[in-house]
Amino acid sequence: MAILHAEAGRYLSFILGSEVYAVPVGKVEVVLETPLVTRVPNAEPHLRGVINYRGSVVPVIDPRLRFGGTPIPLDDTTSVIVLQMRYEGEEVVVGMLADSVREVVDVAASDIEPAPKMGSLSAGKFVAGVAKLGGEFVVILDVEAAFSQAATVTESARA
Amino acid sequence: MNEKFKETFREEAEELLGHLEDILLELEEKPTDAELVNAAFRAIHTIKGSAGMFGFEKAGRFTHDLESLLDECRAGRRAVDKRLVDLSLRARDKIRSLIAQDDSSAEFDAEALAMMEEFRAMAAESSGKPAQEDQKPKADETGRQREAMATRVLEASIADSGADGSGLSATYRIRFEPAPDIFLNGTRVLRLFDELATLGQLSSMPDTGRIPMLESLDPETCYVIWEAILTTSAGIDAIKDVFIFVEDSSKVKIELIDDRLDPSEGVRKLGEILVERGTVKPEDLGEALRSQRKLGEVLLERKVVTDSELESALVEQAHLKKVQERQTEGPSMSIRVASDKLDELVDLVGELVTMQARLLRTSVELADPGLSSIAEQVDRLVEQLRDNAMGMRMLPIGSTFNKFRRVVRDLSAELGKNVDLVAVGADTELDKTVIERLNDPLVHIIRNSLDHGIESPADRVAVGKTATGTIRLAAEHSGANVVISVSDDGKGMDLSAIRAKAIERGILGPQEQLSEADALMLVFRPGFSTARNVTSVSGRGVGMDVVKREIDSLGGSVSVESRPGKGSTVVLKIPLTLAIIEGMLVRIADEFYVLPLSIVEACVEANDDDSTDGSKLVQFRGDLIPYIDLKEFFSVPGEPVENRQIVVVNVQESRVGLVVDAVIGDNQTVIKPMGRMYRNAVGLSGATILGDGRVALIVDCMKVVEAIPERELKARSR
Repeated sequence: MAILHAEAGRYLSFILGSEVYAVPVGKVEVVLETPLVTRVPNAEPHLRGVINYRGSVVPVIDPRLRFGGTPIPLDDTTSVIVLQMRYEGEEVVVGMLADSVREVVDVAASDIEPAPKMGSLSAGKFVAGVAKLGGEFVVILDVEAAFSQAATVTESARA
Repeated sequence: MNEKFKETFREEAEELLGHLEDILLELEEKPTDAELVNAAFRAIHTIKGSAGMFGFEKAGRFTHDLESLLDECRAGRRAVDKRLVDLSLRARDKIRSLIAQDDSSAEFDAEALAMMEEFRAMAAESSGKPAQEDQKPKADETGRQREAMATRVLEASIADSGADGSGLSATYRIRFEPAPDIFLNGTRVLRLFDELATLGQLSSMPDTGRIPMLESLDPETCYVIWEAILTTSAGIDAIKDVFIFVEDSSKVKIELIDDRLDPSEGVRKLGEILVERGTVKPEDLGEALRSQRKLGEVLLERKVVTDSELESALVEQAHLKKVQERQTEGPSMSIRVASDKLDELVDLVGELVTMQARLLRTSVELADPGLSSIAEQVDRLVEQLRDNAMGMRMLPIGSTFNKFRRVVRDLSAELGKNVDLVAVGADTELDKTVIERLNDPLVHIIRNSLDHGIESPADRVAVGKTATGTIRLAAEHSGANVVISVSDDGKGMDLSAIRAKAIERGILGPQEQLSEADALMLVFRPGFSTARNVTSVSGRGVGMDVVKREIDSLGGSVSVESRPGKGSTVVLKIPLTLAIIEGMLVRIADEFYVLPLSIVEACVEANDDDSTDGSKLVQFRGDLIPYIDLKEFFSVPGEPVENRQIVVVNVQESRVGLVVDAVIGDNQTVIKPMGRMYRNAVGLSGATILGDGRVALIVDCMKVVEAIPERELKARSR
């Protein structure tokens, strides 16, 4: 997991807590503003519920809870980034909560740096790289690692 | 040759070969049934003909000799025996692989050549001529010959419809003039017509001409006369039987119109019908026809016929036309549809159902009477459309059961055991995809029963059983589930052997104590197998764990029972898992849940003093039943409320109450999967989208009820 494999390209940046994160634009289907999230009981805590996305029921994940932080409050500023990703060998659509969504940025290969020691969030193993953009660190998230890791945690918890 | 045609041929051949297998297996039991021999011949004949047409020449050539052999049987020159059935079954498998290979250039392999030799030898035995003289198909068969063959196939199938179709049908005209006081003795007139309709194709026309004006109408008197046209093969006596209880007081006239309508004759003229009925005299008809206008109008104008007489004749004409059309349509009333098109249809219907819920909701909000009535009618249509679409995907499980006959037959021969397969509930319908996915698990279970369960004939006789063992395959609906059980009357499962093996394999600790039921479940653990010898059948340590995994993924459950010396039973419980179910929408605080309506028995008010002793039992129809507070179960945040509702559900033969804040009502629930991430969410089986676009969760009542301790479920019987 420690291998950095972020590539140059276009990224969507967003805020989690006090830090700026980014995911490749190619994985993003759409950003939904304050959709109605239905809580799903008896599920892992970082799975915040489901939303209706174009007639499909799509799980919503809270990355802050995933990284061991506090839950993202569901209010008027909350956004859901709808992503396409691989999960257990299948292409799935998931919604990822974000405190707010910033912008689409171009990241050149020279911008990507090795990950520094992570600060408030212990997201180290889900980081594909860190880009330094305009004096600001942007954490490039490896969503696949973040989610499939979640599955592994569940499996071992069950056994 | 176009790949698409080939693909179609393969699909059809696959179906025909499946059909052929069933026929052959039945033929083995009833070797003298001429109809079965015919059916087998026809299947082979059709395969041969179309194989040639679509460039599967090798399969065609191979099939030719088998066809000749079956033709001998058909002509009665050769009796059907075990050897013939055996060979035919093996040949069937060979044809299948030849079609799968689709390599006409290669030579036949040794197995195929040997079989072809055997066909010829067997055919020669019966006809008494040497095998070499038997007609061989020429490789350079011309296109015209093939065409001729295809035509013959067509003719054969048309002829079938005549023979198989329930004999000759005839069309009758029935005039039923009930006694005026017929209602007084409790006769339900319309029932008579329902009964007639079961005999065949019925068109009926009430003659209401005698109904008086309202002021002089006696509501207990029957004024109506019925005319009906019935096309049936049941015969006139069957029609008379329908009227047997009313024929004394009422007038019933039954006339034969036509023995068998000839499609080439064209549609009957209205005038002919009227004259034949005696409504119009031939001379009146001639005169009316000369006016060159619509006959009905002229006759009405001249008061030669009344409105209802004319209408009745028109109904007859329409009926006859329909019957003729039916006859020309031919035998096949079904068409082949790619299954993904059906899936797409069901998806679309699902969307439509969701939209419909929105329409209903909006119409209620707007309170516009015009819109409401449209919304209601659309609702009815959507419901019918939904049932239709779902119905198309439902198949009787019997189609799968038949495949197992072959498995049992071949395996029992291989293992030297005598085993009968008894199938019960073959008409139980299940969603197509579920049936497909059940196939492999069931094969594994049946193989296990055959291999490990049923003893050898000698062993069976030694313990006082019949030499032939029985495997019973049963399917039945049980609420929202289908229960499929596979039971054998073999030796049962050896608990100590299971334990020993589990310990040896490290599945179970040496000191671990297990209940009998839990010990039996060990066989579903990966890598478990107690077979001493690895056979080709089972005992490779794969199988039962695969069964469990597959059934789990269908949202079902597996259990196993075993009685030493008596046999064992594997029970699969599969949810109907239709894409759309009837649901009941409930609210807990501000969250919405759907319960499958099929298991809901009643809704009752929850009394606060119901559970004073904290036992979580509630009175229902004189019984004490356990209940679960769904608010607690799903940890729904929110303040406690008063006047809650208990939904009584029936799960696994137990009544259980589920406490909710409010029951909203019926809901056509389009089941949407929640995705793999939520597969561990206990007590939920899916989600659905409500009319307002929000997502509601579907409660998996079985899983919820499992949370109730066993002793409380049993409290009911106290």
